[in-house]
Amino acid sequence: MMKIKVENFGREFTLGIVLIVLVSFVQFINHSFISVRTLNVILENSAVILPSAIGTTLVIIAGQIDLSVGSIFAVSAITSAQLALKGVPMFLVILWSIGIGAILGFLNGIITVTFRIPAMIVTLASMTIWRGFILWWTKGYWITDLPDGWKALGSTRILNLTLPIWIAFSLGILMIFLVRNLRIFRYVYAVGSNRKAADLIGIARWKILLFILSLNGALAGFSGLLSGSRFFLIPSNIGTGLELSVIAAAVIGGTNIMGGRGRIEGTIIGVILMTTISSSLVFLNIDSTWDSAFKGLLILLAIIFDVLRKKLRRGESMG
Amino acid sequence: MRKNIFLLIILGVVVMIMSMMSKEFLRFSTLLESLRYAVEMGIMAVPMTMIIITTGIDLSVASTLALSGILMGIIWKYLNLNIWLAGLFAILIGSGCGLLNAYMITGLSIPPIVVTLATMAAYRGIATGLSKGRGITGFPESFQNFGQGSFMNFIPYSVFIWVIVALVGYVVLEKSKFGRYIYSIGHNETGAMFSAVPVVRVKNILYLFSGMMAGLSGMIYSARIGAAKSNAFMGGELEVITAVVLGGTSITGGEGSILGSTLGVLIITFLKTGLNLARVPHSVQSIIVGIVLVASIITYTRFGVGFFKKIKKGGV
Repeated sequence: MMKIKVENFGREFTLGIVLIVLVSFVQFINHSFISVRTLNVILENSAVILPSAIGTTLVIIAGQIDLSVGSIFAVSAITSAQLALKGVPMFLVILWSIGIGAILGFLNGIITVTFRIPAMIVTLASMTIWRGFILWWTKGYWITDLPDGWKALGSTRILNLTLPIWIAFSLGILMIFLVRNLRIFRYVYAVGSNRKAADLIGIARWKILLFILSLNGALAGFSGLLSGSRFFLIPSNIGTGLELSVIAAAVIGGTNIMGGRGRIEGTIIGVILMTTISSSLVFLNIDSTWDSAFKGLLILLAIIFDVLRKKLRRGESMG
Repeated sequence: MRKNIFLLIILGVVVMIMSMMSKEFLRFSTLLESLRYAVEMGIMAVPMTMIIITTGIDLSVASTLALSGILMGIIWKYLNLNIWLAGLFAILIGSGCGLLNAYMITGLSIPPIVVTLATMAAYRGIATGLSKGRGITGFPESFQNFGQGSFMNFIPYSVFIWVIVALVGYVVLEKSKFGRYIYSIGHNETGAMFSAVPVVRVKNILYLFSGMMAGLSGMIYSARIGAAKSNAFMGGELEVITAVVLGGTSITGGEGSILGSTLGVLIITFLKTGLNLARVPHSVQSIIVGIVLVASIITYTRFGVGFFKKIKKGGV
């Protein structure tokens, strides 16, 4: 019984070890690495993309890809900030950020299911459209002079950790719980692992896709709000390239890109690992221009390691 | 074929609307000059079309372009190599990047989207790291002239390369055994394997070819801009895929053509040139490109196919 459990947690386990090795290595080189401040930076950088990464994980599990999250993220962050500037109460702003994300995600979903086009193509188009829209809407200017209520969301501290960290990680734990217990998420796995079987047991595939793309939009929108709330100004190109970062986090976390398999736990660790790498470069005195190279190599290593592990395990079971 | 007719109609409509919006647009020289900015996209669209037909994807092309451009610049500047030899080296670097993708895709059987997503970050990252984010400039006159000049002051030199690549791609895909292999892999990979199609070799060649063309584009890009930059063609992989998909290549594989993709590149280029001349801001341009993309895909997945089928049957 115990052994099966260890097998199940294989990916998270490996990632945890990689994370510990990485942290000890950096600490060994630079003794000021492990500190409350670093922890805060790492967790905060993770927190702002975590909701979106969770959404993307679910979309990939359902066998689709959503490339528009970066643009939804931007639309949500900027329009929410503008609402806050107009003096709209903060809880309405939060609702708006999630709502606008859900609406944009729903639009993706509607086109995907009505015309039976792969979501990747639909979101390739909507990514361009919403990015163009937000650049046109802001005329490329940054949003500045944000009100105190907005800043409070990003800078209030509980037990030395900022509010977005608490919110995002609670959301993560909530999602782990929901994905395990709600029937609809079982259906998401079913649709992603075998379409025909899902149809045969009577799952309305279009409803699941619509649900998961809307949920993904809502989570991307919420990510946008969390990200925007950390800064005193919001650039109009916020969230560019987010879609690929979150896909990478999900894949590092063990989500199968072909659909049907993946876990929120893995994605959470994947996100933390990626932000830890970015932060540790500073402490290793490596120029930040190498950031993307290290991220890419890490993703490659994680994937190759996974492939080799699977091969090894297959060999063991045969021998 | 019917998709290509449809694309020609779109292209005609685009040219018509654009020439109404600005008088300069319909001049032959303007159209030819605008092609200069489409060369890289056009060249990389050729292998991308073949790869997408086999149900694969290559997200690393724009990063390969940047990396080969930067390495070309470094070799030229610090090893004092002849710029044309360095350009050849850029193509080699690109091929190397493609080969690495190919090895991981076929050798380790990792899905192409995952491999190229990772190498996209890695190649771009190495380019940024090596150049410290600064561009390499001061290429010789003759090299810059290759990217910026035109044959008899009329046809840009680089366009010839695009035409050659597209023609070769067309012949390979539509007229050769190799092309048949590509389609058969896209339709049914297992079936193809059992029919003695060398699936692994075909895929290896395709990803190698994609990297090679990205390297070639890196050289052309550097010559056109007059600088090798690590942020060259940022986000261009999705632009290339947009052109290919707009050109009627099905992302689920088995369907597509070089002519279609080339028309896709032309539609996007003329659209952007026309909107530029009409002083429409870039933001609105991307909105329009996005709408054209989604509208045309809807058209040929739902209505277009049925409509053209009717024509073919002689119903209309």
